[in-house]
Amino acid sequence: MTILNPEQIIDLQGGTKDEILHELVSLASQDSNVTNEQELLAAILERESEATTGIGYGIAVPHAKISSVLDTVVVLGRSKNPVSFNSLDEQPVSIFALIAVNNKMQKEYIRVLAKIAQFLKQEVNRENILAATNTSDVANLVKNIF
Amino acid sequence: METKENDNPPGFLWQNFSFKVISFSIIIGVISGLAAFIFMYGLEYTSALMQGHVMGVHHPHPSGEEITFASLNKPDAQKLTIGWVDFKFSILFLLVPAIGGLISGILVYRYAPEAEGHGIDALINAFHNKKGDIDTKVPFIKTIASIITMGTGGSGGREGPIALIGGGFGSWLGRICKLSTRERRHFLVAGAAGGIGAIFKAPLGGAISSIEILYKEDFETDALVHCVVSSVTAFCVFNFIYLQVTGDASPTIFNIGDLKFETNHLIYYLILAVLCAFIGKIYVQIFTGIRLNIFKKLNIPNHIKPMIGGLLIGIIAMWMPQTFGTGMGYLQDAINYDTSNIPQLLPVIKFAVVLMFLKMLTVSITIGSGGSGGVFGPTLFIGGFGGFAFGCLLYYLFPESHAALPPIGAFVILGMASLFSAVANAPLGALVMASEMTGGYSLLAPLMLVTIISGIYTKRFSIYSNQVEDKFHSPAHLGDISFDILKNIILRDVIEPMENVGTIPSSTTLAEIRNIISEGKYPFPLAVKSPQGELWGMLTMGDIREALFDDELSQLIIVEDLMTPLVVCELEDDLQSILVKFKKHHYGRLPVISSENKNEVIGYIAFEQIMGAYENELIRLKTME
Repeated sequence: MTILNPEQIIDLQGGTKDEILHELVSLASQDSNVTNEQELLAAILERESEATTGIGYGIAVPHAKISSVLDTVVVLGRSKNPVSFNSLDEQPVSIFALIAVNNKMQKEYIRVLAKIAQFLKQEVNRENILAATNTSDVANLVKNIF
Repeated sequence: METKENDNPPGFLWQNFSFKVISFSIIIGVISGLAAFIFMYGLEYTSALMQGHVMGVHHPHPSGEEITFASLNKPDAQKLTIGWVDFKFSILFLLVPAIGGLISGILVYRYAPEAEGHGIDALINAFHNKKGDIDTKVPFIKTIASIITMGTGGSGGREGPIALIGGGFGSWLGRICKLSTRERRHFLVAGAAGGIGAIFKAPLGGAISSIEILYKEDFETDALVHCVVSSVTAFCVFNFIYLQVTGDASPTIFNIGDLKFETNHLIYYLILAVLCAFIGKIYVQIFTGIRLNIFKKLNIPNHIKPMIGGLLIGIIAMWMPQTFGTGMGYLQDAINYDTSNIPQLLPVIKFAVVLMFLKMLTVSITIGSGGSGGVFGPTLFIGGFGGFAFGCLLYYLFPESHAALPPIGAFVILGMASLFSAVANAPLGALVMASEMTGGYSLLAPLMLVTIISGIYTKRFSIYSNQVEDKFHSPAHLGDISFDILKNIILRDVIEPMENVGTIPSSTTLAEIRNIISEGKYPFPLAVKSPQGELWGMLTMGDIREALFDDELSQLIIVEDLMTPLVVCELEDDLQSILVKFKKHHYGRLPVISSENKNEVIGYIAFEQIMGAYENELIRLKTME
């Protein structure tokens, strides 16, 4: 299981949903478990087209399970300027967690999704992440998620 | 969508033609050939010692068997041939077979009860019911017990013990090499084929008989290659050693001279075939009656029973010593018998008929009491003397037409094959064995006729009680048969029309899935449809269970996140291929799609429906029988 390191946390620059997703996939693809960046991007975009992963509270959890991802990869992003993400509560999003797993790791997929959603739904956690001065501090905050 | 499974038909002959099969069969053949020679040598030596030297009975030998140990015979030993002898009371006739029976009984019932009786039945049982396993000690015990039983006068044949010895080695080799049950069964039969093929100098007959005697109406064709290779190898090894030891290179056991088939002889052969079917029925009744109704019910320790058997055959032998042992030499005498002396024929006919029935008794007593030996040899003996008596009768009744009658040797050979076919339900093996043992290939056409006719008349009974009807009735082929049954059922004939054929969109959220489950409208698994309306995956309860009650996920997870690979069936699929899909993917039911529109689910097939269809088909087939 991949643990969130400072290298897997990013301060996002994009201003649109599409730009944000590209940035997150690009970061995730630096992990050797992602063998095909384009395939992951396509899977993430395709999943978003099915139903939004913006679940409210200013958070979004884009995710996909595909065979070209060898093991679980999680990256976290935050945006100083909240981005419109077609969220369920129609509020813009400032914290993003991208999850990619192998298509045979169903249980792991659900477990990671549940842990991240549970963590980010707590207001204090969201505030701490946004208030952290750098990605190392964010990594410290989220190190016990899993 | 998953492609249709590509299954090769099981049992195709050349599927078995692999390096492993050939090499293992050769090894088994070498050991079987060697064991056959050791067994024959031991048996001939013990027979000469106990019967020739101790009891003073000198049996004739077939022309092609030179291991006679004639020097061991008493100088005043009674040299026997076809013909009556004076009744002679001898305490040795009682003691020797009885002691032999006792030793054999103790050996068998103490150390290897499976070695009891005639080995072929034990072999058949091991094939069908014991996954091709024979206890390692059984062949050794069987060898010693059979040599003692038959060497001391017990009436039996060599093929049962040697089949079990060869088969036992094949089974052992299969076990230590961790071969599959199916392979072990094949090498068990290959070992038997090697033993029989070698000891009767009949490689093809040994191979065919071995795959034929397992069933009343079938062949174990999957083992044919194994049996042929093993049998030919064993035959070569046996002949090589035989030549080194005896200097004899006779290719056949019996020498029949120049026998020719003439079409006008056919009528006599037809009558002989019917006669042999009748004799066969009596023989099997006597054999099973003595075994089951007398010795099985006898309330004494099992190891004592062969001793009582020995006593009884000793009494019979005082009147007719030709009933002792294997008796193969008397068949040679019958083949060569001079029928020109008409007045002498009547007592010979009476002798042959009495000998035939007494041999039925002695073999039934020997084997039925638990002594060790085979029934193939005595069956040849009884059939041969049936044919001999019939031939002599014709010569006696039509003294002016001797030239128009078949030679007496032909009656003997056809009688041998005809009776074996009748009692063993093995017509093909019988005719090939008879041809190879005698070299009488010119008689192939009448042999085919008599073995088939006598076989047809006697399909309902068999001297081999463990023989099963066909592969359908054998536990060894349960898997094949189940698959064959399912292969013949098409999904269209099984599936019932469904009113609510459910599919689920891939974008359905976990919260919505909960509602579907609570409504109980559709059973799971369900086929998943993509936003484009294509069939895309499967959603099972197992997939949902992990996430079902997690509130954090109720809006985050949709069906696409949970679904597993799509597996579908089509209406023209057979149930065998569908069963393979169930086994591979572990879904409780599978969607059935329309052949016109591959994205339209027209129903679901559940695993229970496959089993139900199988059961119904079994009932239907049994009702048809």
